[in-house]
Amino acid sequence: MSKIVVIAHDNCKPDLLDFLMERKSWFFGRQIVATGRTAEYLEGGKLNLPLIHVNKGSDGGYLQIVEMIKNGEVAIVFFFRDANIVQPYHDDICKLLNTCDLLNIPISTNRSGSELLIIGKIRMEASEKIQSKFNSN
Amino acid sequence: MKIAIIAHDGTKDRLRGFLQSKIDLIKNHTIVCTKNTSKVIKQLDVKVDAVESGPLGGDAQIAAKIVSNEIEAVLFLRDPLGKHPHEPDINMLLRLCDVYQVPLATNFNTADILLNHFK
Repeated sequence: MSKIVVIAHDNCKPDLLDFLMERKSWFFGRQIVATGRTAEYLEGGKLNLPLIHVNKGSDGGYLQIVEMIKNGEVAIVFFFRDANIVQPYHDDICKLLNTCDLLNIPISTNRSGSELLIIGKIRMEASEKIQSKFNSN
Repeated sequence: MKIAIIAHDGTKDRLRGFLQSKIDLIKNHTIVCTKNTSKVIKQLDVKVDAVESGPLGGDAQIAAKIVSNEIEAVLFLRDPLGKHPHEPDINMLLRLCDVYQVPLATNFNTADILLNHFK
């Protein structure tokens, strides 16, 4: 349950890179999974985080991620979706969204939602840390 | 600003328990919801602004409110296993959330994290 999935459609890739740069300290040391071209774009940027590649969306990358989710390997999904295009692999995208809802995996499909999710996660982890310290004392 | 909450039939029971545990976070907000969902939420003693039920265009009404910038966040607790005659409306709502950059939760875990921002 530790992988973080990041996906962005072409128009949203700069936005995703910006988001990851801003929150780099949180992403550091975590397993980040990205679809083919998103991963290439992120590595082309100045983001020095190791990424796990899966296929690009049109070659079944979404389905690979769906498999990971079903195996319980994914903790959270950040999906920067371009609302102004319909992808030829629209069904795969729906499958990803449905699987997340079925298995109750946190997912956001836009930037503002992602910001709230990550802040929420940071807070949760901080309070867990405090709690565990409190318990051990 | 308002929070929109929609739950499909398969998730309504769970929604009641979920909102009960989050009552402190939502009681100061006006909740916009579809008709059948509002029956669940009214029991909790929060301000509810009900629109039509989903198959009669409620999702479309909420989408219209997103366009006119009245909605702060959307909790859309979908039942991914159910079949819905108003599937196009559902997809429209999901899409418009992305167009207008409205935080959207489509399952309880996401909703849990999002609601913590609404003190």
